[in-house]
Amino acid sequence: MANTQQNYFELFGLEPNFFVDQKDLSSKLKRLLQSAHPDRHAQGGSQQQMLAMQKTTRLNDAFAVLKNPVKRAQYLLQVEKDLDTTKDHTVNDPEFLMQQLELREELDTISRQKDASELMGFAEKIEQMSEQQEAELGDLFQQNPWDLDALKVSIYKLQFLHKTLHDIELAEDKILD
Amino acid sequence: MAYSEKVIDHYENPRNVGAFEKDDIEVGTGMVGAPACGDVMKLQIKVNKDGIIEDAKFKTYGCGSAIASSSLVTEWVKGKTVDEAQAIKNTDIAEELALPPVKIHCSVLAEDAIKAAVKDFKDRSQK
Repeated sequence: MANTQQNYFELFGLEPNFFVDQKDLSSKLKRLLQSAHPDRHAQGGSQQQMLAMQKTTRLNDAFAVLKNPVKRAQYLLQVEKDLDTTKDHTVNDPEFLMQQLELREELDTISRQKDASELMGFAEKIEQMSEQQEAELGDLFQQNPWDLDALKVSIYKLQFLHKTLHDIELAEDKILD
Repeated sequence: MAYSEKVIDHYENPRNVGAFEKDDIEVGTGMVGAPACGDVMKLQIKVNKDGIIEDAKFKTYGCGSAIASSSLVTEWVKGKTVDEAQAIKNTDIAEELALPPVKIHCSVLAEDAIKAAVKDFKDRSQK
């Protein structure tokens, strides 16, 4: 029977850690999903099948969190420090936000000009910034003890960069149409 | 989810989009963001020597409700004193725009933006 008390890391046989081998995670998901597949529990009756289905849902939820650096970091802080960083809150960081606003303006201009090569260059730049931010977040998680305030800042910075990456995808769809 | 008519009106015809020179001594700039949705909001006020807000501008990257909330606030603050502007409540914004519960945080962001703008103006005018 599925132990619903297991956290997402435990579900995948992992220690709670920011560093997750994504390849390993994907292959574990495949294996775990196979063994939890409702068809495998066809003889177990409807209750067994229901449990198998719940397990599948939980595995997919866990995977979605563990593969995303922002969600993984937030979940790790929740599990280890009982700290909820997912709630809506306002960030007051004028310098960083001004930079983010300027990046969105740049994206706006590129989208209006429908310049595909310009957009690719911009996407590369933001991806690089995003990777750097993720690396910084990783460094912070390696510190002992954790600097919670610095972690919170690092997480929201990555969130804003991810939003810009998302907007880039929308712009790509528009330009390629 | 359906937007209210007022939100759509502000979204399609945003008032006071633009920017002032942020180093101008008469200008206060509020820069806020909401990480969960990635919205970024810049709200600026231009204050005359009697402490009255003569003009306001904004630039918001976010959903329709965030744009409408900041657009509405720039309309409301004109002619107000900075202290009156600081007293604007997110609940008033949400009520005026008939924001649904899941979009209340957009009005909170707009309230935080005007507060940050007034604070920036006061901090710099005291120097």
